[in-house]
Amino acid sequence: MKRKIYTHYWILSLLFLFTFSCNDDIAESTFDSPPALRIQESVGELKQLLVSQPQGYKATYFTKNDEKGGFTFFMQFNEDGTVRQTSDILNGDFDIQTSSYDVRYNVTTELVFTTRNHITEGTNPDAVDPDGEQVHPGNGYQGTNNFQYFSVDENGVIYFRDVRNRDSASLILTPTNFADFDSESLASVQQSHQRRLEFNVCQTTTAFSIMQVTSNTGVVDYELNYNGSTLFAEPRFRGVDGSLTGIDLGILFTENSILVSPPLEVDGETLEEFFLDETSSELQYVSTVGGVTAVIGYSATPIFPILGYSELSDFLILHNPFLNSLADDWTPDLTNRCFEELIVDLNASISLFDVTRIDLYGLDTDAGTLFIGSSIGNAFYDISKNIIDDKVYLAITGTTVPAFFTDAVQPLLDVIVDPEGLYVDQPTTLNEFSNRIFSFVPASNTTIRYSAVAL
Amino acid sequence: MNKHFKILPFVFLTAFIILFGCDSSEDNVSGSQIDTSTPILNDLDIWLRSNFVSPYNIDIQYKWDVNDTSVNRYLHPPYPANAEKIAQVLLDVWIEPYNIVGGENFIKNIAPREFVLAGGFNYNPGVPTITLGIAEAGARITLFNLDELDFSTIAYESDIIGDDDDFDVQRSVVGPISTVHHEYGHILNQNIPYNPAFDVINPGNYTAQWFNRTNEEARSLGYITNYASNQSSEDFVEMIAQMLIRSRAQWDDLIDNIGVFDPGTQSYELDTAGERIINTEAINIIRQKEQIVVEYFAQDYGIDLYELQALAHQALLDSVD
Repeated sequence: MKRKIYTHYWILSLLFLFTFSCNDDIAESTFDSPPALRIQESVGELKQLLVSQPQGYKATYFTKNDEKGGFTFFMQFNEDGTVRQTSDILNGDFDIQTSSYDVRYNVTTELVFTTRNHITEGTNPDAVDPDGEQVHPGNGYQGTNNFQYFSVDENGVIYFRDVRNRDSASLILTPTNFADFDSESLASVQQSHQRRLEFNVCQTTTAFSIMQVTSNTGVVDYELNYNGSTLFAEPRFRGVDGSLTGIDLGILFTENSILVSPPLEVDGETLEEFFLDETSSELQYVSTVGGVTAVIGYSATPIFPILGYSELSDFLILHNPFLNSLADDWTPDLTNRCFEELIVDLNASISLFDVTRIDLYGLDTDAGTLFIGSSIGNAFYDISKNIIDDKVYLAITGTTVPAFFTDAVQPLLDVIVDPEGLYVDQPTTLNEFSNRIFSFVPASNTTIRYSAVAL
Repeated sequence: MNKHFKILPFVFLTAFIILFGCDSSEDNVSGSQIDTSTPILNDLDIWLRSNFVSPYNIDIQYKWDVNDTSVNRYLHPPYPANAEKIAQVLLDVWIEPYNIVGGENFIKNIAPREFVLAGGFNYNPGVPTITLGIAEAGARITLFNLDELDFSTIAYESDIIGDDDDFDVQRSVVGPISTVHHEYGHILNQNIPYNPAFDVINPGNYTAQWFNRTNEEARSLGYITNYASNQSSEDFVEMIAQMLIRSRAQWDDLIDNIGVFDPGTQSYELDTAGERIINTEAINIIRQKEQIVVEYFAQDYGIDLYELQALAHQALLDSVD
């Protein structure tokens, strides 16, 4: 009997334990509030931040810094869901436009520009550069309309990212602290747009954009490979083993500086902003951090000239309505506007014919042929080739072309058979492909640059 | 008695456990934490709600939502002014004619529930084509390139083979409205499938490389447009779209003048008098297709397609600025 009672109490005790041991479920709260509330709070926080600056924000936006550069915007957010914007992205259209925006929760809290304005030009597949050329047909600047809220710092600077270009895009909003948003923002974007244009004017710069980095370990010269259409550079330098190494650099012009993205890392220092050196007679932007100084500008000669006697290809097409557009797709700016204008002016000045095509044959040897196609027939010039002191010298050695034709095309001959020689280089990493690209700059006129596709 | 007395403590204990064992947590049900407040509405939003949402349960999404389009395409929202213009065109040129011939509930019953509007062209990667519109599961139609439209122009392709200016059609009001007629044709087909006899009229020249053909070449093969030569379902709705953007006289003129086309020279073959040789075989094929399409509307929806054609075309003419 006693044993039975003990058994019952044991069972009861166990039942008691099982029941109450799971009763006080003391969950450790990771968050103070439920998810829906936290989402609302996050959305509300960003909304509040955006409208907290009555004089708006200055925005620097790199759309995709491994292929494209960036632009400067000014944005004034209003409580009624509208935002006023101006920028330097619309090639001289600086008008302040009003559109709508929204702050939503998608994957995370996002700022969405819901109707068209300056910043949506980043997603315009037909975006054009200041010359009216399409930046990248079908893709444009490869930007976004949805920006993921990333963080805000103690100065009120808000950082956003793009889910599509997660590691290569950035939008940073910095309070302007302007006294007058309209006048000061317009003045700023007009100035930054002007800086962009100035950096890419063939008449006032040489054809060789460069970057020079000086640090404790020495001086490294980079061929900048700057593309004024995409605002993107692919600087290359020659390593100690002689091989060429390239990096990606998105370029963004401000009123008096160039921002680069990703930042340049040299000897442990981070260089992000290059300031216009107004004391220099040359157009150059300088960044100095710690013991490192980097300069972006132009040089009188190429960083990597053609040195080998037979490095040029057998068959080079310099000017061809179809193939030049092909070359432009590969190497924009390598045939620069000054050369295009030279051809246009030449044809305008000749009443009898138009120059339609220019080829060079046999430049892999010491003698070759210059071919000039025209609307009244083809002209062939025998040429010789010499390479002296980093320059290629072409000279006409014979022809049966009538004198009137040669006289008419003399401005063109001057930049091909330049007595002072030609700087020739292969300024693009795209030369890894089978159709190599060569770039020619006449030493007597370094504003001219024309590229040739080797077939 | 003694036995019952012994059981009593256990009964009390069990009751205690049952009553208080799960007592420490309290229900905390309060109001919804989801924000259901009305978003900020501008004048256009209110107009769209009055003219599309309330009467037809159709939402016109002109404000950008990344989830509405492919994240792999570079697209931007349209200007609100253009969204308003195209919405008016949809009301006048698409909804109203269908309501007149099909009854006032026709569009209410069968319609996409959402139009998504994009401002720029939708380029297809890797091929020389653009997507003009997308119909998704009968529920949504997406229209592109609204900011590239000239709302004061009605343009049809020229009679010049491969004329680059043919793209002007897509920059005029005809572009988006033909896209809507095309996509709405798919939605009608999803509700009631069309006669499969259509599929076997001339299946031999359907191709995924349709964009390598000009419209003229496609017509000489018995397809109303080059895109119609993609596959039979597209062929069917292209017939609808091309009929509804033209008057019957324009339609007959287009069909009756289809010529014998030489793909080698990309030109029409001419007779000794220099006149285009009429391609009666192609004309007969397209007329057979036309008959099936007209029967489809008459039998399955009780709509006289030629009456709809007249109304839609007149509305198109009236729609230009």
